[in-house]
Amino acid sequence: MRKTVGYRMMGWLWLLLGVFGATRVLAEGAPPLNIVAANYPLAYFAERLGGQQVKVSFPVPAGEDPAYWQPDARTIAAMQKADLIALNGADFEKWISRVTLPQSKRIDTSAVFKPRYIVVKDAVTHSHGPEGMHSHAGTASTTWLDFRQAIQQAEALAQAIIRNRTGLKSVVETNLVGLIADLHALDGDMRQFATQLGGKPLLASHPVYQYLARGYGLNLESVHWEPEEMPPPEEWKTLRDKLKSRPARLMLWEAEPSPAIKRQLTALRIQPVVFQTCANRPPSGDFMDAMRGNVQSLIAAARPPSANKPLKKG
Amino acid sequence: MIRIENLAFRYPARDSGFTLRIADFQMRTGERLAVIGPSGTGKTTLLRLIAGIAPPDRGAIWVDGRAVHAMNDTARRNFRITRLGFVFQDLQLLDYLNMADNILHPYRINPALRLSKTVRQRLERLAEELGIRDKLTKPVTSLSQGERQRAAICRAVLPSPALILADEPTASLDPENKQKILDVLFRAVESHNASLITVTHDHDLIARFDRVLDFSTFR
Amino acid sequence: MHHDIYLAWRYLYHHRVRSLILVICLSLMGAMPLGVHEVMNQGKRAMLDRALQTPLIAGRVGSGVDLTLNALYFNNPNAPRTTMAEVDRIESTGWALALPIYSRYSAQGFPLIGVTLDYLEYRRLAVTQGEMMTTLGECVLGAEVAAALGLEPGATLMTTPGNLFDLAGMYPLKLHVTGVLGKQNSPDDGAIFVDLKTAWIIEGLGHGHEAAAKSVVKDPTKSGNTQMMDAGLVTYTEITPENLESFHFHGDPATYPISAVIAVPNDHRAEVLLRGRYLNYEKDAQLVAPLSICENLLDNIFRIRELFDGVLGLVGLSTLLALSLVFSLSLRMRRGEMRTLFLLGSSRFTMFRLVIAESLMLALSSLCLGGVLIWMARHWLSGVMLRWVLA
Repeated sequence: MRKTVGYRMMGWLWLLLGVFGATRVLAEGAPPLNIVAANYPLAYFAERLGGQQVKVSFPVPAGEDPAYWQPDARTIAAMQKADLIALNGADFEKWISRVTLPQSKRIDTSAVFKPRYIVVKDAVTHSHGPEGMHSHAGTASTTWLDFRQAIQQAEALAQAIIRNRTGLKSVVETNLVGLIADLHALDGDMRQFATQLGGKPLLASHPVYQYLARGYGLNLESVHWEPEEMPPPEEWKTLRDKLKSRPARLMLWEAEPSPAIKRQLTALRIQPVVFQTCANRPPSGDFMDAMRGNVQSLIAAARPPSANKPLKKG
Repeated sequence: MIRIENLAFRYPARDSGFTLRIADFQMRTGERLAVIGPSGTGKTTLLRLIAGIAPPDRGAIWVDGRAVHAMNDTARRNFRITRLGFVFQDLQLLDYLNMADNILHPYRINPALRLSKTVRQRLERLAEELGIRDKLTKPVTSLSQGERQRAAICRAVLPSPALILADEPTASLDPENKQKILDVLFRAVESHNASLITVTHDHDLIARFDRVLDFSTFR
Repeated sequence: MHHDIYLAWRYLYHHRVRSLILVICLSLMGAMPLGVHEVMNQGKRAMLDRALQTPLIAGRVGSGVDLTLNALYFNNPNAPRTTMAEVDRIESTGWALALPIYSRYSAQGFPLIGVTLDYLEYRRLAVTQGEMMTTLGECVLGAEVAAALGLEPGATLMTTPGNLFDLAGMYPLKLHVTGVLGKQNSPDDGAIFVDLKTAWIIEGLGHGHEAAAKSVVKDPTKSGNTQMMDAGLVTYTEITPENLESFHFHGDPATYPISAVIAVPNDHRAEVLLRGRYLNYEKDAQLVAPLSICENLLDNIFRIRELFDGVLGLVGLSTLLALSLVFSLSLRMRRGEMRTLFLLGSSRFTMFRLVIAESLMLALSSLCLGGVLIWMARHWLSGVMLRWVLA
């Protein structure tokens, strides 16, 4: 805990120093580096790293899953003109093989841990949201949910920014330290949660938490449920059958499930916990706010019930 | 105008080795002299000696008060082109020039004569007088023999010479045209107050001259 | 002086046929060796310019000349191929920018070159009509291609089938022209550029599943929630916005074929390091410097220039002798004119001046005509030498 607080304080300190440094560099009058990010975590990292020295574009419309988004010709043309195109990699950008972008401006931020990608087999094709029919087969792509991997992605992005504009080296390196400190804090908190959980089984509504599970040793199994869609009875039956061998008490959701779903889960003594993946911009706050909220929700949910009861008077 | 004393000119051995001798000869200014005689007696040579084309071996020639026999090559050329007009037997017109350019040719080849606007205007008047004004721009190859003769006469007269030397100017012309050419020649001579020496074989024409010099007596 | 010029002009004009023949002979005599040299030099310059702009080329081990000429001029679609692993190898060093090119295909008689946008940026190829391509199935045209085919942005053109009987291989693809590149006076003007991935689609390494996107069925042989794709593998002849999302690639991209990789080292040190590294790969890959390859090639080819010079020298000498004979005969024929000048009172030097004036006018005319001929050779024949070398 103290370590986490320490990391957070360091993070704030470095953030302040970074802003100060960025302001000084801005005074020199160089145009901002134009960065296009393929998902929101990378957009957030780019903004943290470059400050006012970068102009970050995140072209995915609000509410759309960036993993299944297809850029139109105008967006692609804008990307071609960018100084840097920050890609998640791990097959996150399904559209990348169909568009024409300059190779030299692309940075695959997860390439450094490519050998450790998680390959998903036997996935079901389904449809939700504006992106239509899709499948989660292939490579799991929410790499940033393992915060150590998120650090590696931030480092890769920082190096790419510095390679592109060496004049930003001191600013970016300063800001990187602060960002890493924040991500370390999250990583520490997640480890604390994993320790608290002690290997108990977990459920997830959607197969998007693979790296989270692997990174923190979580005993996690996923279904394919949507927060606003009541699953059919047979799927509830399947869940109940699963609970016999895996008595999970927490279920991760990307968004708050509907009251009807919550009631059924409560009947099964399962507590839904919202853990936003933040592939797109959260409804409020930024990436760090959302992740802190996620982790705190997990920690709170994992506490023993007695820990939450108010002290008796007298 | 002309005075010749003890003149002797020997032809080269390959050309017969004949020696032209004239002991004493005089011609007054404005006189029209016809030179007749058999071929090979030196008639053309006399004209050339007077014109300074060839220097005599012996003797003296004065033309218009100038000692032609004593001049060097350059002086004789300048004298010839400025003070004399020569109508050659074979006309000596250049095929690649038109009539006007042929007439003005002496002005282009010797700096002693200056081609000016005045000269061009004089050419126009002279050509009008000689009846060839409308032929000035024609190439000489397209002209008749009579037109070519007039062009040669015009060329000789244009610099307003003091002495005109014409070597058989009416050769190969029919009798009517002979008279016409002679009329042209005499008119030009009169209008410029020049002297005229004409070598001719036409005895029909010699009556029109002031004096006749018969070279048959010089053999 | 002006009289001399006037008389010389009148003489030459009167004998204009003869004068023209003399001018032509003299100008050819001067222009031919200079013109041949100029054409050769132009060809050499063009070739070396292109090579100068291309620092290094990596490819499969074999003939460095073939590798170089194909990468620079796209002249050999059947050249040995390498793979994208070569690009990864160069990029992993961090020492150079790697620009893969794939020149196996053609369309309407013009080479179809698969590239990344980095190639176009490196060669300073910018779109002057329309827009740059953005997705699979699109192309931009070199300036000469657009002019020759009369195509503009919005048009389409079909690729040329590699082999009608190659059922498992290449398919003709209808390309959509999005733009026309500005003229560069380089081989890029005569090429059609597509995204490298589009070339792989033509190769058959990528395809769409148009029918599959519509029919996801439950596998009757398996229980549970197992789904099965309808096996509707379609050989697409056109990539459209409607079917674009169905396109995908199989296999390891590192094994995908390319013709060569242009390597642009970051600096001289990086170049030395990269060349040293490639000495270790000499069994399966080579890294060549186009400039030295082209210089050696041209030195060998242009040895023929010395032979040309010898032959042209002999021809020139005999022409000069013939012209001198004509000149002296002409002077002999003008004895009458010389006599006329003398009789009229001109000096012997006057005739000499007239002849000099005529000669100078002939020489000047020959110089002008020769200059025009050399200009024409430079303008219209500059590509001849290059095409001859590449043939």
